[in-house]
Amino acid sequence: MKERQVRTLDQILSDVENGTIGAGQALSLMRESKFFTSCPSNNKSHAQNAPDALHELEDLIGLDEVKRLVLEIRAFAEIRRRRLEKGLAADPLVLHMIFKGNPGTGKTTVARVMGKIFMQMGILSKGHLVEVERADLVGEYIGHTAQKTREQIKKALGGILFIDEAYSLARGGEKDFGKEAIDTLVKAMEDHKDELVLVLAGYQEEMTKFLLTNPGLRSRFPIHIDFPDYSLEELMRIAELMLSQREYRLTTGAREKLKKILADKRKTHEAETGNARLVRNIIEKTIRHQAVRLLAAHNLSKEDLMMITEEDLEGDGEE
Amino acid sequence: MKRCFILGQPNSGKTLFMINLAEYCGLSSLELLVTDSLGEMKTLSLCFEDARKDLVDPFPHRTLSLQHATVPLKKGKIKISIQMVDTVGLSDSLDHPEPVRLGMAHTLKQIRSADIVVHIIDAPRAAVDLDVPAFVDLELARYASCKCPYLVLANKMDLPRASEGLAKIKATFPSSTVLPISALKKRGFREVKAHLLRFI
Repeated sequence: MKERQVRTLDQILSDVENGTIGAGQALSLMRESKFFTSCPSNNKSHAQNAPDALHELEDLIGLDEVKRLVLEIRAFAEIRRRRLEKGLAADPLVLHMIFKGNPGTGKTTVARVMGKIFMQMGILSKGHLVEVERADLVGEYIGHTAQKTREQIKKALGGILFIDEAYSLARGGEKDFGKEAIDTLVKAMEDHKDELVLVLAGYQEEMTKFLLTNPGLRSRFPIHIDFPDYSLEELMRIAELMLSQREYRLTTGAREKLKKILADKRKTHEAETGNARLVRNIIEKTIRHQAVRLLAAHNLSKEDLMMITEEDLEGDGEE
Repeated sequence: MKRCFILGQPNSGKTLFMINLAEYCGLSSLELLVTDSLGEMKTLSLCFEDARKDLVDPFPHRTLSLQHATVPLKKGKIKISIQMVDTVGLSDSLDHPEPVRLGMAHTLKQIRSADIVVHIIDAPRAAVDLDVPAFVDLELARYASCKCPYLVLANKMDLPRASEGLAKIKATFPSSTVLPISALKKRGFREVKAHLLRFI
């Protein structure tokens, strides 16, 4: 049990739930994992809101791999800083990443939170997220693409440049300007190593193909993260979380029904199944249905206004 | 509104402290918002007599969910209220029944949102039990004191040998403020209130 590994909050808490560790040990582990952001000696102003961004990440459901990775990066960055203080050699911190996963599996959300966390750790100066796609980078005539791409890079300096569906840059074949965009990006990510984090995101398969055709690109991204589809339980937890954030609650019947709807959806649709966006759409629709139902009623109690019943959930949840 | 978490080992008097502090601060009845690890939420409205009868008993782990109460600390022109959060007792032993373990995990998860932490320790037990303050108390102090304003309350000062315990607690937490109180007899509440107001 002495093995040193980063532990995410979820793991610590489930150990407490299973009775593997006591509360004292849990607190000690929590403090350890918190230590790097809560007491960075160099930038005090950032330290104040440091826990917030990390909490945001911890509160995301599932995504264990991502959480562990962020904790590792934090540990690495902190030790690197201390090594530099003592005059030891330290590799530059290259954090360019590739996110692979279906839509609605949390890629953009994670990128946004990571930006904040990196900012609070002092890795990035601003930590904002610039979200672009092919059309923002690729131009119309020769030379236009490099200019457009450089513009976006300039906007993203100090933060994260997030390229959604990045594989589309290589779509058009040899003569396509997309290649020019890739070349400009590659140059920028070397030149601005310290002030830019580049994230390429897209579907699993297409991204894998894209990286195979651009071997130079692959090696420049040290971090690859897979975003697996959410399991049914995770989708349910996401639904409950979304509802509780909006101060709504499900009755037992409604919970069962929602579970059934989600399970059915997962069976029928292929690519868009394990997907938090689907949950959000269902929930927003349900809330509207509840509103219509309640409008007819009189003397509504606080409980009535919060409760989502079975009839609010539409049978097939069709979009 | 600031959130003040009441933390400590089981049976140290957290719930009674919250109820009696609320009464001391002039509330006429106790409005509790109860949340548990499953995300269930309910509101309770009790008079203080009932609250003491229903929510407190002499055995550990009476409280298995988080109980939030809004307590007015200052009245008059400038009103200041604080949300007191009564929690599940934290302990180091591993052989608790499942509801207790879930409750502890829930408490630990929610600690992150605390603005102030009040740590209650059973003073007479500290005098007789070598293991009090326990590992969990030490870790709690370390965690909370680098996170937010933090206060140690030595409870049950109305019982014999409590002052020995108080001395031991003070020696264990030399860098924290330790206030002697009796949650049962509402002693020491004026100082607690003053400290809480200072933190806000």
